[in-house]
Amino acid sequence: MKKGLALEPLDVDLMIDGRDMTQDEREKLSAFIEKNKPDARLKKKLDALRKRLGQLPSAPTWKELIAAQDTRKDDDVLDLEHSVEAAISGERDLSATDRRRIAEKIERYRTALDTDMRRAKKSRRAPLVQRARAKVKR
Amino acid sequence: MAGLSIEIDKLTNSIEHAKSGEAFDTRVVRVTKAERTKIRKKDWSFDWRAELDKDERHVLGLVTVHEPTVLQGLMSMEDRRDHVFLHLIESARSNLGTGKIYVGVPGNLVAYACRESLTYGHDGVVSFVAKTKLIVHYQNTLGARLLGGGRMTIDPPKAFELVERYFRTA
Repeated sequence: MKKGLALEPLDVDLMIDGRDMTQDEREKLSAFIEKNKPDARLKKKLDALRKRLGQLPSAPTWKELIAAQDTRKDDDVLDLEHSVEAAISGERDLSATDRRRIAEKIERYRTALDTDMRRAKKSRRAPLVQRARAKVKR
Repeated sequence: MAGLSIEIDKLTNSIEHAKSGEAFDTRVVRVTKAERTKIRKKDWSFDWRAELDKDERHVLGLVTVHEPTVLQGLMSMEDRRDHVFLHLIESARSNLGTGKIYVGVPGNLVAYACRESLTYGHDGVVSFVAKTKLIVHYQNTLGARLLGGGRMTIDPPKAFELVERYFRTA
């Protein structure tokens, strides 16, 4: 089930004009919104959805999320390390869950590494391209 | 309770690694003025620091759960009396062009804007001024309606679809 793909074509460089609406445009929009109010059936569905969303936490600040993730990651890694140590010392074998988690971690690190490498490659390439363009202009 | 809330709040299969096709869970975060130095100007086309300085605007970023320190996209929006207005949306440079790392970043952010509009009590209505060449594109992908002069709006039925599609709320 790849729900996100439906909007994939939105990956264009700049989506929005970057200008604000004029006062006149805003008024026209308000009139449009007023005219196109949802009917009773949709309103009921929207209200139910809003109620469900209201029970969810609002977006954390970037700083809060990083702090929370770090703590969670530490616990997770520590837990897994204990399992691996126990397996190495022969105390007990790795469970199927441990194996799956290790495989997931390897995959995550591989992806992250790939991401970093591509990012690094791009940032190295950029100045070269700029210099080459400048040379052509001269 | 908090753990459970976090679990159901995540976006569903929201962005995909372009190369492997693997789906990554994402989170939308509020970027505050305190974090303005972390947004390097050279990494973005728009002046996001200026956006952060405007008090009436909210700057939101999209990060993956496994890499929360890296912003995959940014959006600036404003709550207006009867709708949410999108001032800017931008994908990180690494997510643009043929060598992009992740696909699906802007769609997530637009869906989040609809969600915010819904929670503000605006029935999910989101408006923005589209670039001329992208108007048809937004009509096809988002179901946005053109009001003239590049002004587009996502109306309640489409907003409902988007929020339901992107957020696991039940």
